[in-house]
Amino acid sequence: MIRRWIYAIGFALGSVSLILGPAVLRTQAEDWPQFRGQNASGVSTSASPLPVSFSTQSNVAWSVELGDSVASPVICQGRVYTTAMVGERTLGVFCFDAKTGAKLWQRELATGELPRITPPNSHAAATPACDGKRVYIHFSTLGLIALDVNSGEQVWHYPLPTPAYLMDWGSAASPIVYNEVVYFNQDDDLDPTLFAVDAATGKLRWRVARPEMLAGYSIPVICEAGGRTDLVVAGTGKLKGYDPQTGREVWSCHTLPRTMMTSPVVRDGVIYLSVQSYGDESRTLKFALLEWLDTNQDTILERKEVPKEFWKRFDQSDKNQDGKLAEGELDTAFQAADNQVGGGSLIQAVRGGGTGDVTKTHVVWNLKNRSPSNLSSPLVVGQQLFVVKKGGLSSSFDTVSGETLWQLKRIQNLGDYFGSPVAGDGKIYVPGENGFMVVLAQGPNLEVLARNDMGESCLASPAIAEGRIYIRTRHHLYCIANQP
Amino acid sequence: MMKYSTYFRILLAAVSLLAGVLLPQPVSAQEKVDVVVGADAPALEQFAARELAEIMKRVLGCDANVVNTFTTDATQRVVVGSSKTLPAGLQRLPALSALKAQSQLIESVRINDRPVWLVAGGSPQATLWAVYEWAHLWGERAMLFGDLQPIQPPANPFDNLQMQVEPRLAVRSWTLLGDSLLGTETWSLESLRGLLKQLAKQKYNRVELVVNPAQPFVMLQLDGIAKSSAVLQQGETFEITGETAGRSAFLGADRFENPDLARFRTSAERLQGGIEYLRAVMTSAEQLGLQPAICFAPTSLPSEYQAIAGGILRHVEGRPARLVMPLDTDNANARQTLVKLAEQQLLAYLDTYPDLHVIGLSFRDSPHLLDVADRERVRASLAAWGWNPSSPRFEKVWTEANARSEREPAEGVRRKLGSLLLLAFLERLFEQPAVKSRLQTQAVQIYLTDLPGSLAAHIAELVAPETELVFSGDADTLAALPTRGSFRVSLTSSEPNVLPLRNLPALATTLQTLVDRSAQGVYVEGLTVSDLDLASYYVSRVAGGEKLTAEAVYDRLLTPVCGEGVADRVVRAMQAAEQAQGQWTAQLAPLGTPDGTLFQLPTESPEKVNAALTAAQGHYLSAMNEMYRANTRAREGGRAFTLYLARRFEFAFEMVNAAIALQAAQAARGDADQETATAEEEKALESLYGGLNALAAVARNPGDRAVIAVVNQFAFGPLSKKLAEQ
Repeated sequence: MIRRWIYAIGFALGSVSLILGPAVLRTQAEDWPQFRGQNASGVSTSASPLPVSFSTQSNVAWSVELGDSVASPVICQGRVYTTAMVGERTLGVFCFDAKTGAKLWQRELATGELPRITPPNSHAAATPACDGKRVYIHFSTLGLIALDVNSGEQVWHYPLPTPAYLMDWGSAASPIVYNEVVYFNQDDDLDPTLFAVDAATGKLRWRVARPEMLAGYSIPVICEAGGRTDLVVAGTGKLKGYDPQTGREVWSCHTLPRTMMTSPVVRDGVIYLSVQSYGDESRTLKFALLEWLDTNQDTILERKEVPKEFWKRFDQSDKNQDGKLAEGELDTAFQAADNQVGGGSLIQAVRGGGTGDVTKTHVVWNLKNRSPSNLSSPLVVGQQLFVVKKGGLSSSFDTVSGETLWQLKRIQNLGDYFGSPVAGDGKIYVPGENGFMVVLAQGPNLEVLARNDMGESCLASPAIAEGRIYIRTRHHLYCIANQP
Repeated sequence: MMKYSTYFRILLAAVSLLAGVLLPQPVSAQEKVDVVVGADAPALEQFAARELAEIMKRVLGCDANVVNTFTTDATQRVVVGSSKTLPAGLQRLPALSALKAQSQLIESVRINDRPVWLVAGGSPQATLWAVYEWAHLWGERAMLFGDLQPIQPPANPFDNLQMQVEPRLAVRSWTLLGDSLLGTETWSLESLRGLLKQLAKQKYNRVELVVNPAQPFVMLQLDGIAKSSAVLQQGETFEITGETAGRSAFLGADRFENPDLARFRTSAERLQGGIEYLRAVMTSAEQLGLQPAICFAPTSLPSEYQAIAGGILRHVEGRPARLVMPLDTDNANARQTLVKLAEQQLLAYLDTYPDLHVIGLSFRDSPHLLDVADRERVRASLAAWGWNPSSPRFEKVWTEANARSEREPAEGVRRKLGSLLLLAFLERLFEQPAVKSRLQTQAVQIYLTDLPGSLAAHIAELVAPETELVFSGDADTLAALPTRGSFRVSLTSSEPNVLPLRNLPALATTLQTLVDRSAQGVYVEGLTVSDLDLASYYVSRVAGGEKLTAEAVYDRLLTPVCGEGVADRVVRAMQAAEQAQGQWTAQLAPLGTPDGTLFQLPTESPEKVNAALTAAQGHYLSAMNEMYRANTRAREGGRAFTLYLARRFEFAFEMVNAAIALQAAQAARGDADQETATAEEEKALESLYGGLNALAAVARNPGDRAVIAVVNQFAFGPLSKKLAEQ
């Protein structure tokens, strides 16, 4: 009972800290302006009660059928923005009235020839970001585009290199907007770079190469700690803090595994991470390449076995120019020599506000267990960190001590989890790839409140605003509300 | 006398100039191509011309159009026609005049001193095949699920091309429908049309529609009793709910069933809908040059007829909805009644499908005719049907039957002797005036199918020479196959299974034997259509005239559309899958059977079973990984093929994982360790869920959906319910 009370207090404090957290221009506290809402926390500050039970038919305020997408919707100043493929080579950006579902505008963008992706990824994978003036979207072949929130007209376009992935995963990173700057971290296998673009003009503010990174989808987060605001980005082997004004690297923490597909969350100056990267700590990229790209399994990577986007880089590493990367050449051909990290699972809390290498000084706690997902990001709400992974196996840990609340318990829904859990009104909403939205009670014990069928595959994280839950399934957008 | 268009009259005048030796120049993207076909040419040839124009557009990227006369601005000219429909002058071309009905010819000629490509066949069907042969030459690959385009269009698509193709097996039949839960009876007309089109591209020329009397494809009125069954899917209902694992495959449907027949709820409605559906399937096949045949067992009837004929009809073991005629009856009146029933049934099919010209009579139920291999009783029955096994005509057969029976199991003996009885019975049937007359007026060709191999050596002496004979069986049967005999081969395992069991090495041997023995044809069947691309392509090429080994088929099929290095990985994957399949023969049958025995495993020697499961698990894991590597390598184009098989093997891997967990659960329960048993069953459930979703992610047709529905119905659903109740 006392524990429950502590968590209730924690929940309230958590909400307050989010409200008082990083300022985001023109968005309102009730807004959910980017991937997983304010600062990618996944936690709603709304005081309105949220529904427990719903479906495609019940407690639906409105719904709309859309094209294919795995991107989350965002809500900003009473409007919902989402994307979908509306043609073979056409991306649609949609703006709906959040209350009624009325479509306010739709913008279509020609994408050109599409790069390879691996299912179930979609070409419409990036979640938009919005600051109340413009909505910012990313698309693999187009780069960053700002659209006017009122008209949908294009305000600016900042082209980016089309990201390239050794394993053909495809693009799925999302932009954020903070203090009139759009930040976009494009960690691919070819030219990983962090971009800062002026939100009003689309002019480049700065860009920082991240050559030691491999492909990943971690979204940048804002961390206020030590009297300073940092732009924090997780990537291969390293969690890094940057000065959001200049892009200067302020600190780094070298504890992460090879592949970062999950995003960190920040609360009260502490950065929480949860990630699973395939294989053990010795499994560097080389082993993955030899397992999957070395298609003839001769333990030598030939040029023709590598996607053509990487041939130039291949040739640079092919010291003897024999068209093959053998043992010595392969080690560092695609993974930086000074960042040879492998796989593994970890759940970690890192204190922000440091300077330089903080590996030994700022790790608050570090857990190594089988709980983390490789795709679904952690949720920090109240005093608990919650994670869910394939098979519907959930775990929860105390945010302060790292103590285990429960581990690998089923939430009664099998299958994969690509979307990340979100929280609001004392509940945790967990989107299953199988289309079921599992509702849990926030608290120290696992309690399944409902398992709601949304009819089709769901890879996107839900959004919450003004007492409503916005659920993007593969081909639909649902606005769920009590007494619609 | 066929009327020819102006174009053809012009051609006729120009034929005398056909002596040039210069070849047409290669087509390029900038060129405009006339694909010329006579305005009065048969529909199939006009279709062939349209197909060629579309192929040229998508493969070569040129501006190709179907016209009836040459245009002035065309830079390349192609003529499409057959030896019987082209103008007489063209027909006199040595190459054309020598064409047989199934021959295909692609040749450069000169007309009015201009180069022209001639795409011709010995018949309209063969003309269409010639078009598809050209597409194949350019690198397009017709898979059963659709076409895969070459990675790079041919640089010089017409260089030095003078080609004539002669099929090596005259009948290349593909079996549809049937009554397996994994078969094509749940396919919508639209789905089947897509499949038929791909079969036409692979130059199959017959589609065999296997029906049983309980299905809604023919109305029967026997002894005043109207047929009331009219069911598909063996009467099973497959509900699709949120709890269905892999439900995304069903695209929102709340039931897995044939969508074209779903709205029909009463027996009468289903019959009407079923007949319209089958007529439409037959029409679609004919439009593509595929000759439709209906195949049924003439001695089978649905169970509602149990009371007729004095109640002498028997139930088939394991098929409660089906009755068979006891041809060993010693009652003369009963024999007369049985012939009448078969006659009415045969006439019912002919009445219902007046455009039907090929009927197959299946011997598949014949083993059920006798309870025991009582030879004396068979002799008596044969005599009663008008045959004398002691007469010279039957002596060889009878002797052979007796000789072989010494080393055959009872089932084999029953089937063989039952088949003899059925032959005698059919002779009486064909003597019926109404049958004889109708077969003649409707120009119906009869083939006997599912004949046991033991009859192969001498059956030709027992049936009319025009009757086609389709055997099934083993190498002995093949070795004894009569000259005009055809052979039925399964592209997967011989028994239905939800797992991707396959049969390419054995298929290669069989096909080669059929070719060597100048057999009439090959009847291929296979259930989960998505598993059959390689095997179907192989049959298509070998029966169609190409000398192709089973080892070479991977490269031939895949390299043009997937690029170098993919075929090698697919070979390894298939070899691993075959090694997994070997465990079925050794220890694991009937694991995967699409019914309540889905996860049933032999109870004796659990150690051997577990070892076989572990081996199968490893092999399927290898198969899956190799296919994922192949998919990685197939960076352009061909991933629709490679990713499907990667997921299919992932499904198989998870199915075996589930079987292992269920074995462990059973062992734990034997040790009274309920906690471990439950934990293992949860593991099994999770494996099933993962496997079904892996398959659902690439499910492309009702065949895949059938696998998912069946595993849900007989394994995932019951296990899920059981665990929820614990």
